[in-house]
Amino acid sequence: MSTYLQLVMQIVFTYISLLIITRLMGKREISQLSFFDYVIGITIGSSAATLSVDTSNTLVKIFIVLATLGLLQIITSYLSLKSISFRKLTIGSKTMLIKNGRIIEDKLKKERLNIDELTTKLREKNVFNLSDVEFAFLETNGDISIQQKPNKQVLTPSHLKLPTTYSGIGNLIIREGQIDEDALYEYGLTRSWLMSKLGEKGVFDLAKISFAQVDNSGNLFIDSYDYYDNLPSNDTSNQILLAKLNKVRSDLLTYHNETDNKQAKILYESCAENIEHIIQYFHHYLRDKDNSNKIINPPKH
Amino acid sequence: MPVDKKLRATLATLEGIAADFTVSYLETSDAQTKQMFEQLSTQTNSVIRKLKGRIEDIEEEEPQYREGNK
Repeated sequence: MSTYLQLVMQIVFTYISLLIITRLMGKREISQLSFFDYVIGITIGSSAATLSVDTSNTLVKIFIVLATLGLLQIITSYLSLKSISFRKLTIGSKTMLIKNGRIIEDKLKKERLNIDELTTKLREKNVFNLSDVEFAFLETNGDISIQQKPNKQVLTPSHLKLPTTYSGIGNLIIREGQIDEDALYEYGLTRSWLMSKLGEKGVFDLAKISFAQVDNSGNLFIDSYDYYDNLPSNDTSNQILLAKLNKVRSDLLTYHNETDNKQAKILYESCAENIEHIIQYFHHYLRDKDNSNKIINPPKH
Repeated sequence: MPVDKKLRATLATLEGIAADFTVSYLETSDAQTKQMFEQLSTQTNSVIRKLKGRIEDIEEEEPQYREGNK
């Protein structure tokens, strides 16, 4: 009994130690920038496996083995961060295989790479013609990187001197029905902005949204849990009406902010309030209608 | 865009909304819904009146806007 208990304890302990050590070693080890990293990763894994099932080991022994390996690897990567010569020693450096369109056979021989392997690697990079390649390097992690000849390079806006605008990235602001407050804050958005955007799309229940993303120009993309909710509603005209009302409301608020005339300010504000009232009233109607529809005609899908 | 033109655009949108409400009012047979659409269109029309008044004021104060429109 006690050996079984020890086995379970050892496995749990190894599991937790591995978790901690791999987290400490960081992302670099996952990307396996060099063959050495790769081998170390396997070594840590296999020693953990061996140690955890052998009950003749003690917890301390397991810990010492894993911690030493992990620590050594951290020290090595730290040293290669500090010293270039050490880096060359442990990681090595890239090898130029093709220079100005010509294969350097000596380098190929040195890396014990044959032509077929080279062309395989090139094809993996979507290059089927050796004549398209200007430069090729064998990287320290075994990958090949290629610079194609200028006339074979992918056309980009800069070739055509086309003006482009900053596009940013899509930012996830709702996941699994929950607003990511930190993300909202980070992108300078407010909850009320989000709610009004959702309102324009006819969504009033956060719990129904599995995913919402906002792009650089403020467009909101949402995905609802219910597949059929994602399809355009059959009473689009009401949704358009609602969107128009929201637009008018925001216009009025803009006028309110822009004008210096006190009387006009009051007028715009009261107009905006009236519209807000209309929006809410209309909202309620649409929601009630939706609910009653669902009760009367059960979903067809 | 000059302010009066912006206001006129907003006004046009609002008039469209009011018209939509009126159409819904006429098309609905349910008494309660009918009443609601009537109210909605009345409320929209009151906002339209307010905005119209504002546009008139602007054009009186700054006649260049009116000339610009012609």
